[in-house]
Amino acid sequence: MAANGVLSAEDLRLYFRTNKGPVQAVDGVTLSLRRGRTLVVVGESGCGKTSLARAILRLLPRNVETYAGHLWLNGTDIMALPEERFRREIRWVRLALVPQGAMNALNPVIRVGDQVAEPLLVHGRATSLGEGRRSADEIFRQVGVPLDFADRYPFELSGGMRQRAAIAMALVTVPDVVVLDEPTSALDVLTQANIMNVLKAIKRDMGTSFILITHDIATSSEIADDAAVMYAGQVVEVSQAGDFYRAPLHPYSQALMASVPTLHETKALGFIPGRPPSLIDPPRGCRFADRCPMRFSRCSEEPPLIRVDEHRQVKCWLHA
Amino acid sequence: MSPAGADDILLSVRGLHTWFELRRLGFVRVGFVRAVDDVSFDLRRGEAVAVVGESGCGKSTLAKTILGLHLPTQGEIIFDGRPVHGAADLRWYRARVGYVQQDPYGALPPFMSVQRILDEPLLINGVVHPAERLRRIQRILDEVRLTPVEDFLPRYPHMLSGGQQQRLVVARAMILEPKLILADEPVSMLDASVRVEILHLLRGLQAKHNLSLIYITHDLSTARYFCERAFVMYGGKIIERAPIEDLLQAPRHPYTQALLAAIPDPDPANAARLRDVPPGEPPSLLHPPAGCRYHPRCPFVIKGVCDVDVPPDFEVGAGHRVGCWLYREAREGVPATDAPERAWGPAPSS
Amino acid sequence: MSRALAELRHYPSALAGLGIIVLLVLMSIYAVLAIPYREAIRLWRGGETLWLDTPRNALPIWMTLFRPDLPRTIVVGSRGALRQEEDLGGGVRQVTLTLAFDYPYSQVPDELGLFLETEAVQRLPHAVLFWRPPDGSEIQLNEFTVDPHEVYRISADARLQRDLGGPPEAVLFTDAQNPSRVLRGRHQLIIKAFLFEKTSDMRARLVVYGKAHGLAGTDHLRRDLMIPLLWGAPIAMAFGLLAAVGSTLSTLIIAAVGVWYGRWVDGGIQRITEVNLILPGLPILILIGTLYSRSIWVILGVVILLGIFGAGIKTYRALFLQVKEAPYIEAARAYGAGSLRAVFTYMIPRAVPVLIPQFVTLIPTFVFLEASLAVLGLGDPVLPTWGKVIEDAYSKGALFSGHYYWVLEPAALLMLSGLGFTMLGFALDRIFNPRLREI
Repeated sequence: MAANGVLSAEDLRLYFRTNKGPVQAVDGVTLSLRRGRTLVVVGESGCGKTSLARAILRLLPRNVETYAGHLWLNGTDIMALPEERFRREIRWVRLALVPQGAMNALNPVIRVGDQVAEPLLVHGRATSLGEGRRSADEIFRQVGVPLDFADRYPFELSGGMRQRAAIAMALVTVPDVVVLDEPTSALDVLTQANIMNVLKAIKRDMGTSFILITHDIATSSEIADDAAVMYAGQVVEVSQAGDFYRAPLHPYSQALMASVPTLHETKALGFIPGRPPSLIDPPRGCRFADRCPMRFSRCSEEPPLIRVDEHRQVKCWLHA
Repeated sequence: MSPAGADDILLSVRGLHTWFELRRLGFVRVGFVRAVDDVSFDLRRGEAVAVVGESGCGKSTLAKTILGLHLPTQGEIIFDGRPVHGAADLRWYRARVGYVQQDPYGALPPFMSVQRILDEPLLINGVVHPAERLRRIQRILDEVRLTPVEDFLPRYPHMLSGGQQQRLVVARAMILEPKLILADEPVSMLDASVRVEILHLLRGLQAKHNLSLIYITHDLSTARYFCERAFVMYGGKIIERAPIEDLLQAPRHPYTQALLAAIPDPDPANAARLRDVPPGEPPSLLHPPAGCRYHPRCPFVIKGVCDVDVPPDFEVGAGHRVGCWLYREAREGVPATDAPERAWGPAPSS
Repeated sequence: MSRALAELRHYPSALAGLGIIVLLVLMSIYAVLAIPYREAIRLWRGGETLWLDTPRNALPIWMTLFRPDLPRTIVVGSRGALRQEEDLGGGVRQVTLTLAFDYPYSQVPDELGLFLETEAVQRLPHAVLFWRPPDGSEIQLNEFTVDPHEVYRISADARLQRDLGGPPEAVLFTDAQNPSRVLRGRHQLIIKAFLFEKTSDMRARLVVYGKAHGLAGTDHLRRDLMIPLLWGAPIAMAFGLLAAVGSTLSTLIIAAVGVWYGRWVDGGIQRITEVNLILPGLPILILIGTLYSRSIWVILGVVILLGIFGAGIKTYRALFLQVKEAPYIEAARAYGAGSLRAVFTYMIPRAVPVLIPQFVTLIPTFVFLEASLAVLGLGDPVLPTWGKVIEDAYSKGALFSGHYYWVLEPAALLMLSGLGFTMLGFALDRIFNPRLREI
């Protein structure tokens, strides 16, 4: 499993310590990203997908209880790296993040161009701000931000432009992998389409591999090569985009697909009764069992991630 | 348009303008933000209408003006035959219009229990007897499926899930037995699987109580679920209105076309192509472009026409009207061209 | 709310603070019950006659733990004493009273005083006083005509002091040959009284003042310091609480009203606040105290008035500006809520998480303010408060004279109450404002 693809995670765990007990936000996630491809991780709120992004980038808060498992980047076990080496060599150098709400996380008192140039200066890729700005301008062109916008402050830009600036900031060091956490959820439809175009162009021109985390299944199909579904801290299905969007296997994925309203075809909408389980004391056995219309006796035992074919895995006894 | 007060028309909006005055330093007048700029429509009893548009198009301001939260700068709103702003006290009107907001948690006072939240509208509107209030509360909680009712009465908003919170918001909107519900992006902050629940609930309530519904959204795909008609707003104006299936099958306004082209269905083929998105940004409502608000971004712009005069509504089909100069022939009964000539821009790739 | 209080369990500082506050409340309750208000004022303002039997500036009794030889006060009355009567003829009687007592201490007493009671008649009795220390010698002290309520301060008798060659309480109690050795044992005061009228009689009370008295010691007017220390608690707490409530509530309401109505109302309130913030509070209080009235009610009123448009307005305004934009306020307007309801039922409750910790930490500010005013000499003239004790101590040079307890006791109580409220307030702040919490 080790050197599979540009980024692989095996049994990744991230638990947080809280007053009420440990929150098992990421509970044994195994997935891999092949070079030049985009993996979308879809799931609803509370399934742990944002924690997954944090776990991959090792951006951990103070109340971490468990951070374990394996994470390989280009064959190197980056979980084993000490903090300082990880910061210098991996984070934002080979692995970058566009966090949720990034367009609102830009520093309001620094010009946009300077902010995008900053990672270059921090990691020694540029020795002066001028040099850094020149590289930043390159990236601005790639993401479609007009160069004269680089001298403006974030509040002078629209939401879409700010999001492009945030993406530029993640790309400026030309990393191998960029993780994007809900990059378009706060944006309008047209702006969303624009940003997706930007990502598609980057993918084509720079060959960057993406992990796109979102709850919006329709938008995720815009860029997905592979898809993984998360539920209650675990990955329940992994497959290629074509298979996933046309015929998902896991009952949760099916229910999720059925609940997405479509514009260009008529279908009856379904919804999933009940609520996802709490991550503090997750139930034994399959975590989706009590909401699953197809549960049976074996579901009281936790299913493993079963390989259905070369590129498909499902965490469900129905495919054993 | 049918005359206001005709039996089946519940709400009639005529020439509505909501402009906000912008001042610098408190007294230097800069101009007006024309959030709602000459909007007119009729809403029948029991009809559900979607108002679609992006942020900055004025749809939220339209909603708030209809709710009476903003005073219209010009124009009138007539509800059930009665002018809304005729008398100073809007209490009679407020009791007949329910409001469902976007943010379920923000819409609920965090320090009040479910019972208290539902008591408030009743108390304000003169329902004094505790027994009567409790009865109505129980009934409405039952209708929105927050059952068992006794379990929910003492709970606080933070103890409810997103879906349950939104149900409570719907319950609060319904408790005064309104005739019109105004829902402003009611599901956009909810998870995918929960959205359907709420949409389903709204549809059920609408059918059961013969409610009129104005559903404001930027996501047309949800509007389809229970709305019969749709209005597309851009730059403070309604630029296209049609029965929803017509709008989806044959959008006329270039903006509507662009909007529909930009909304993805979950289809793996999407990843293979770039979408054709109109350049530019939505117009400033403070200094809107002259003439048609969309003309700076429109690939079919007609110089000398679109940038000079605001297009009136042209009828292009049964109940289907477009505010676009491309259809000016249609006024004389001649159907508009189906594939208008592009003035510039790439041909759509498909 | 209740879950917030339950959270307090996790904060040791909060529990300590709460403990202190409970202690203060118990003290206050005890003070009010054991020494009712009227009684307290009477004792505090009563004057010397009420405190005749207590020593001046005595240390607290528990100091004997550290200095076991501190003498306690001994009172010897004539009632149980030896009395001999002799008729001298011609209507004159001689009554000899022997007031005897055992002196067990190894230090001389602080003071000696004799109180004589006799009937008010035409011809007052004449008394001759002798002292008989344990070694058997006899020393004449004085002789004089006895007034109906005669107070003879043996220690203050300058002539006796000259005759004895030193302070009477020292000389009478030490060995003449070895002045450093204190005479322990049986001492006697012999009063030979000559009564000239049939109705005359004499009652005597000898007070051998010790150096320790009461749980808190005494002050320069011989008053037991427990009274102002105990009563200081309810007064300080009441003042602090009333001032805090008065200014906080009004600040809250004014800020909310200003934010709700906006424009001119808000602007006006902000300008008034800014002017008020510039006004110097303490000098104004000093002015009022000096020129108008030092009554604690007047001072409380001025403090509240100055506090209404205080800095809190800015804080609450910032909070309310955010709250006003909340969707539920909009929804309330949509279902017909009026301005009054919006402000009081929907906006103000949101301030409670900020209000409660601020309120609790505000209380000691006012307690200290009241004490400061008292130390400056502007305290309430009637009430026994901690500040008053410090003021007395300061003006009588307590630290020069070595009467540290006089300053330390009220100071300690002030600090303790400040500490209690502040610890509780900080913990409440962490509970109500989770962002301050360290996970």
